[in-house]
Amino acid sequence: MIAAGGAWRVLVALGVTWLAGWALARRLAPGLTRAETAAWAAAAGLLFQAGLFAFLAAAGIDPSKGPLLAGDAAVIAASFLIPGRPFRRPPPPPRRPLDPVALLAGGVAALAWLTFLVPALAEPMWSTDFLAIWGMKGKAFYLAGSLPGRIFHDPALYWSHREYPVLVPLCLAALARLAGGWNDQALAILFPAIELSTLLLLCGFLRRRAGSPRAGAVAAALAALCFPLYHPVNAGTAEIPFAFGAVLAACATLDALSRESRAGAGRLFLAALFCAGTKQEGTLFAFLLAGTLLLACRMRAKALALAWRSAGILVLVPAVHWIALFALRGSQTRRDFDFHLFLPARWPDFAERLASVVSRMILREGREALVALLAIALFLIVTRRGFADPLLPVLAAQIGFYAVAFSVSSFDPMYAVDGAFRRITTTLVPAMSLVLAARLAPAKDLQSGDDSGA
Amino acid sequence: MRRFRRVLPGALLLILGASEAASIRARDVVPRARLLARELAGGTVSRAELAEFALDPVFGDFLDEVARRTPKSAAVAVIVPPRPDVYRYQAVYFLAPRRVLDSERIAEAEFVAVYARAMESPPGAEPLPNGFLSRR
Repeated sequence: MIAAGGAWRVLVALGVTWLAGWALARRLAPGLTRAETAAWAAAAGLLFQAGLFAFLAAAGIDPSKGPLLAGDAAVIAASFLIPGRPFRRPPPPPRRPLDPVALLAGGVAALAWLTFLVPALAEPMWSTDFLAIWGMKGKAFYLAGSLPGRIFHDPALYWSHREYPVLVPLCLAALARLAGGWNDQALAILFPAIELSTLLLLCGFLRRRAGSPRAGAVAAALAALCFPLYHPVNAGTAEIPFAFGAVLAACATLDALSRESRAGAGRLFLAALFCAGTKQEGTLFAFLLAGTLLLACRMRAKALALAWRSAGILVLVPAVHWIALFALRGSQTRRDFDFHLFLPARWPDFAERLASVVSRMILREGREALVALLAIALFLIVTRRGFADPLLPVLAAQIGFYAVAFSVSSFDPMYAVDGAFRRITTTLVPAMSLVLAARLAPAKDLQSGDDSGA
Repeated sequence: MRRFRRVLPGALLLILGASEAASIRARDVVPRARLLARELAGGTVSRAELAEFALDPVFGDFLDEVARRTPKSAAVAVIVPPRPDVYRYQAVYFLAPRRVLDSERIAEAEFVAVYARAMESPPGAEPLPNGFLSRR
């Protein structure tokens, strides 16, 4: 139970993970706000801890508390001992009177975060996807102290989506090892912590790029109010981590569009790896962002050359991740999809299914979210373009790909839409909040983040 | 008109936020907040109050007994109702690190645990809550 001290041990494990991440991320954060740095540290820490667990297991070393802590200590020590390039801190923003709208929006975000934190911690993680996929694998990794091949090859586990990336299970296993036990109630803290990181990133990024604490607070409030995403059923699944990954990748891409730098490239690397490691949709999102980078820079020859580098990171990192995952799990039958529907002979069938899927999305899900969708559409009409607008086609294309994926479902496509569309679409809400809030200060795309020295 | 144009974006975001906020359900938050408060105060929580076995609290007791009576290295065939699937997922998750098999792979199992199925228990089988456990 939560009161038995398990929660404190997981909190300490999360703190150690964050410190290791901070040691890594501080080299990638010149010019970023404190809130952004904290969020990037969380992402880097989770990636590092999961990677360390996998590395130790592959090296035949039991990834128990000792070796994990030693690895964390080593990276923290190295970050202080290895000299970094000096960088010029940007001038502090001018002092402004407190903005009541920003305060109110921040209060709403905090309150909404609490309404996820409390139910998430009230009981052991329980959703079907946690039991069947993410938690089952995490517990298996934790108990074995390795990545047992049985998880990927045992025919008795054919339903456990062996093709899925394993960042979330590895994070759960590593945190449990650091905390000294698999406590599936205490481990749920990871998910509100990731939500908090998402909100901090939105706040910090918009404060820097839009020069507006109000825009940051509004984005955080809009994201935190997405209760279908930040719902106890999603504690233990990859939805909340992917929503964080999408915001990381969106912020890193918008920075890359504004200015190329080594630190920015490092953040793109981290974001792409986080997205790809979390969900398959994360790889798609990174690829779409790469396309946006190239399209947005197509008119400027010099910018295009630089954009190729950033786009290359967004494509290559998920590709290398996929190869590593393939080496781990081998070839897997994709029982969810019938790709024969893409063959020319099946195009009429595919078109019919796609039309059914799209109409179901609009008539069922769209109708339920009609007020919100209308408000978004009107907002986009009445406000001027914002610097985050290049994300709009990415988000639309991502949803379009979901429609295509549902259309080639091996099962009833309507069942897939009803069961998954809302869940996976809500993961894009925090990134969409960024786009909307950026339009609150569209003329202030000046502070692109000073990465000059990195 | 100018004032209207200035206020409109904020009003639209307010509508958006309110429509998002309307999606919260008190039943997702209030009972769990009470549960957490009770736990933090040192109170006890019964399995029937938790979502993980809300479908069938007895199944949790059944899995506890299977775990207690089988070694961690064992392969256990767990025969559960075919629907909903969550019976199978719970069995695999809660009995880890045991290898949990379904009815098609009984031949690979050292133990067979049967839950809520109209099956006659073989001689020597141990009775469990709403089921039994037999060694093969």
